[in-house]
This record gives sequence, structure tokens and C-alpha cells, in this order.
Amino acid sequence: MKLRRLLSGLLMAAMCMSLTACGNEAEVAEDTDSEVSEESAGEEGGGETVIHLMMSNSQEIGVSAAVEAFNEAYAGEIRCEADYISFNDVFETLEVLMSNQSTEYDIFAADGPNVSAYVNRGYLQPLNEWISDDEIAMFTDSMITEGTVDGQFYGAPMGDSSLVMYYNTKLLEEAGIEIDFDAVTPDNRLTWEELVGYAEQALSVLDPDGNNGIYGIEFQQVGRVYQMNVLANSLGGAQISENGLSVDGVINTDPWYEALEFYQTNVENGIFTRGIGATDTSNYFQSGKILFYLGTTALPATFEKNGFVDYGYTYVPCFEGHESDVRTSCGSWTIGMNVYSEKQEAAAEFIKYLTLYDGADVYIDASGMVPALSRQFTDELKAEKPFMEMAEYEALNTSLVRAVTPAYNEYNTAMDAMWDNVRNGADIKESVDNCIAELTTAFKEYE
Amino acid sequence: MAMKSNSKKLNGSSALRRMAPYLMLVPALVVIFIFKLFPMVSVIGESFMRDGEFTFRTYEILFGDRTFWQALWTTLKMNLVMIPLQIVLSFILALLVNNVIKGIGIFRSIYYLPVTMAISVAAITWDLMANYNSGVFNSIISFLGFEKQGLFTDAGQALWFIVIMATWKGCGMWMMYILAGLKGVDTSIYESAKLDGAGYFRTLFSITLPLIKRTMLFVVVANTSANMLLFAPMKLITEGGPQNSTNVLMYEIYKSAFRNGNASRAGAITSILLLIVLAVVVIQFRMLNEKDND
Repeated sequence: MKLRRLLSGLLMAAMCMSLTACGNEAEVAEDTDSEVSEESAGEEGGGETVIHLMMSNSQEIGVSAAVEAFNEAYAGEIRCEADYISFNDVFETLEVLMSNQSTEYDIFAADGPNVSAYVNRGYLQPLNEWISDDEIAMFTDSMITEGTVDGQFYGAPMGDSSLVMYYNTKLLEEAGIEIDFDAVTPDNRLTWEELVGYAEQALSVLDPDGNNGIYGIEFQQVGRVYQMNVLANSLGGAQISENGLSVDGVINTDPWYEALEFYQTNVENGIFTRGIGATDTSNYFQSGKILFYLGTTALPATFEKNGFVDYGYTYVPCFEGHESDVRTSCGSWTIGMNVYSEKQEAAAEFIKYLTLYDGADVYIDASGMVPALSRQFTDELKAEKPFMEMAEYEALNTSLVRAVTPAYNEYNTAMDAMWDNVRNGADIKESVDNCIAELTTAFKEYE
Repeated sequence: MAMKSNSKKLNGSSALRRMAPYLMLVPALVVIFIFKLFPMVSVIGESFMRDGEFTFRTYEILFGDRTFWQALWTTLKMNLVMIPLQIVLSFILALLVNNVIKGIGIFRSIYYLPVTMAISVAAITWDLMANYNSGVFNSIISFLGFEKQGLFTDAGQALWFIVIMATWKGCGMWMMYILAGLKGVDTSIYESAKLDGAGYFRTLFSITLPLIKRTMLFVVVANTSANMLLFAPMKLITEGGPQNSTNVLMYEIYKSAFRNGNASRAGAITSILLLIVLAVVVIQFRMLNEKDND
């Protein structure tokens, strides 16, 4: 009897809860309806227009500051709501949404090398209607090239990127290693070979048995072509063929084999890490587990946020005998307009704010990215962020744009896998051959 | 007049009764059509379309693609090992937990426990445990005095380590189905067999297995479908590597559709995978039904 009463009580409670839930749902539905009508009214004239932005979380620090500034500046007219998607998922999310002609986001992050592929697939709206030629000319040349396809401007760059070599000052001190970083200049760089030597020396003191999990050198974006290709590029290797549709005869050449061999040998010797993903390397560096760390100029903003101060930075190293061949990564996220957006005017206003005017300054200040606008390379910026001087030098003298190809996603996937395979000890020639075979087929789709 | 009206009523109600089962099936059929049949037809259609035109070009490129053939071979190789392994292990586990002894429920729960874990959680956990530097497997291997192993990062080991993981994850569920079948067998048959002098293995192969054939058919078919479509470990742990050694057809479909935005290629591989699963399942049905007819 008691059990029956208890059951009846539970059923009543469940019914009440479901009714409450229905009520909430109805309220939510009403709220959503009112938001939709408000959004529509905004674009047609009247209320506030709400636009939606999809961005990689790797850019959250800079973009969220710019979005906040935009929402203040345009209060009552346009409001931007941003979603920050994990870097690992942002490309796939975009593919899923855009292949279904989604209007969920009016503006989205398009990584520079992907602009051409997105235009090819019909995802991006040309921006020339809203951004004049004079305004486009405000960007640096390489950024204009990255955002332009067939003479139309699709990807407005938020910033550029460049690399510096960070080092952990505390670890160097503990290891008793003194390096005259002041003597390091663009013409007198440290070499990768020297770095390996310092790393070996440091590890013999800091982690002689290999039990402390300390490593000598690591790339911030380990396993990703954006940074890994620097090794091959600095030995004279190219990214891709000139027509952008072949890697045969490009990556199966001496510079590439030499770079891959250098990397694999030093992974096996415990100088570079193994089993740590690109999203985790920054934590390893900040927790004193990595001595030398090749990363972007956006990192100091993260270090500052996390209170990490035991670091210095210097120019990207070169290989011995290839001092004049040193190459660095460049390019960054651009911002594009969804071709299906129903709020293109408001979206264009936001894009201009973020990339050309006040928002661009807020973004560069907060993110630590290299400016994409010529006017932003000021003495004030370089005084405030001394690494910008190195970044400016590399951007102007050693930067090499990523592979220019409509099949950049395929290129990226296959090349990342090749670097990973080599890292995990696979036969180098076999890895290169597999990569060539995979990409040869993939490129056929675009011929 | 009254009789006519009654007969009309009777006719009406018998028609309704005849229609009732079909009406009750309608919701299920609608759902199957919308979520199963329509996507299948749509995907097959998509595989023949490029730039809005009907063409066989996608299949032409696909059949000349080394990566596709490698992925097909990896899928078949993995399943040729994994399906029998899982079924045999599940059957053995079911036989073990079918024993009536004190505390057997605890063992049943332990064996079933991995099933309750989401595949994504299981994959991430196994990835952490198999980490080259800090994973528990390599700690044990090192402790025993052996060299550290690549496991998920070694081209020769990754696929088989996924097989082990999927077997650990899946066996508990198949064990439960088989156990339900075993519980349905009348114990008096075993007693008669014992009286007739049948040994353990004779009873197992001549009585137990034939009597749970229907259950086994379900397990074999469901296991085949599930394993042919295994994807999460490849996505979350190995990303099809190292050296494409875990690049199964499902992962190739995912890459084509969601990374490279090539719906046509994804559709073509999906259609081929669908045909393979269909063929294997038809063969399994026939083999088990033939024995039934004997």
C-alpha cells in the first residue's frame, strides 16, 4: 500500500515537472520568436540587428575584446553574438553548416589558406560591395593575396602571424646554460643544431633518467603544417608545386627528407616530444617541461593571462649551412561573410570594424597577433611589444605563405598525418610516398 | 433493415480490425522512411552527382584511388578478426556467467560495465592509458623490463589495439544477449543429455548452440553491422593513422564529407560500405537458415 502511494506520488511529481517543462518550453519559444522578429526588424530598419559570428577559440582573446568594443560602439543598432568553437572542430563545423546552406552564422572565421577552397565551394560572399579598393589597400600585400580569389576580395584578415623561438629562462638557469641572446640577430641566428646541443646539455642536468618528463624543443602547433613545414622550408623545400595541385617532386626531395630525418632522430632522442598534442604543448611550456618552444607572437597574451613570466624570445633558428634560407610561417584567420546571410549589411559593418578600423586595433592589442594593416606597425606597438620587431622583420623578409591550393583541407590533412607518422617512428620514405599518393588522388578532384 | 445495419457495422469493424496492424505500423514506418531509407537513397543519389550533373566520375576516381582500396582492406581485415573474436569471447563469457553460483551477479555487472561507458569516453580513456610517455600500459611494460610500445601510435599495433579496445567495450553487451538465449533453454534437456552420457563439449555443440541459434543469428548480424561501422576510436584516437593503418571506410567517409567537403565521394564510399554490410548480413542469414532447414 505504502509502495503504491509512493509510486502515485512520484508519478504526480513527474507529471507536474513535465508540465512545468512544457511551460518553460513555451516561454523559450516565445522568447525565440520575439528575438527572431527583433532581428528581422533590425535588418529591415527599426530595432537592433543581431548578427552571429563563428570563430575559432584560438582567437578568442582578441576577438572577444573586439566584439565587446563593437557592441558598445553600435549599441541599439547592431549586436554581435560570437561562438568560439574549438580549433579542432571549427573546420568541420563550418563544412557541415555551409554544405547545408545554413544561415546560423552571418560571419565566420576562414583560415587564410582555406579562403580559396571556401570560395570554390560557394560559401563566401565577395566583400567588394562594402569594402572599397582603397580600404583593401590598407592591408599588407601578403594579406590581400590571401583574401583574394579571382580578383574578388573574400577574406578580410584580422591579423597576420609570425613565429619566434621562446625559451624557458628558469630551466636554462637551473641547467647552468648561458646563451648570449643579445648577440642573436637576423643575420646571426642560433642554429637548430646548436639548439639540439643546448637541449641535450640541459636534459643531462634536469632530467638525466628521463623521469621528469622534460623536453628540449617543441613546436607550439606540433603535427600541423603551419609550423612543421618551417623545417623543410628552411632547408630550401617548397610547400607545393607552382600550380598548387601536386606535391610529387616537392616533398620527395632532399630538403624534405633531411628535415624529416632531423625531426625523427630528435624525437627518438627525446629532444622533441612524442605523444603530446598541439593543444597541450603550451601548457607543457608554461609548466616548465619544455626548454625551447617555437610559437606564434600571440602566445605572450596567453602567458600574461596565466601569470607565466619565466620566458624570453629570440629569432627563429636556421640550419647550419642554410643561414640565408631560413623561412617562417605567416598568414592567419580571415573573416568572411556567409553567402546565405540575411543580414549582410550589418555583417559587413562588423567585418569593417574588426579588420579595418577601431576593432582591428583592439584585436591586435589584445591578441598579440602581427598586424595585417600597414598603419598598425607603429613604434608605439613595437615599444609595448618588443617581439613585434622580430615579427615585423620575419613578416617582411623570411615569411613563406602556406600552400596555395583549392585543396588546402586535403593538403593539410595528408601533410599533418605525414609529420605525425614520422614523429611516431614510421619509415620516412614510406610516409612521404603515402602522402604523395593520397594527395595525387585528392588533387584530381580539382583538375 | 436492422440486420443490414448490423452487417454494415460488422463489415466496418472487421475492416478496421484488418487495418489496425498497418495503422499501428505507420508511425514506425514513417520514422524508418525519414531516418533510414530516405538518407540512404539520398546518399546513393549524391554519389552520382557532381556540380549538379549526373556522372560516374566520382566512382571512376574512387576506384583508381589507392587510399580507398587501403581503407577497404583495413575495414575487412579488422572485421575478419574482430567479429569472430567478439562472438567467441562473448559466448564464453555468457557460458561462464550462466553458472548458478553465489555472487555471479557481480561478475555479470563487471563484464557488462564497459557497455555503460560512452564510446567517446572509452576512446579518450584508452588513449590516455596508451600514451607513450605517461600511459599506464607503457608504465607496466617498462616496469616489466620491456621497451615502451607505440600502441595507438605504431603502424603495426594501432589497428589491433583498437580491436582490443572495441572488444573490451562491446563483449559485455553481446554476452547479455547470449545469456538471455541460454536462460531460455529448458534445463531438463541438459539433464536428459547428461543421463545419456553426453560430455560438456558434446552438450555445448549438439544442444546449447543449436537451441540458441536464433539468438546467435541476431548477435552475429548486429555485431557485424556495429563493427563494420566502427568509427569513434579512429576519429578520437588515431585519426586514421599512423601510416593510414586505421583508416577504415567509415573514417574515409568522414574525412571526405566533413573535412574536405566532398559529399559526392563520401556518398560513393557510403554506398559501397552499405553494399558490403548488406552482402555480409545476407550471407550470414543464409548460412544460419540453411542449418535451420537441415
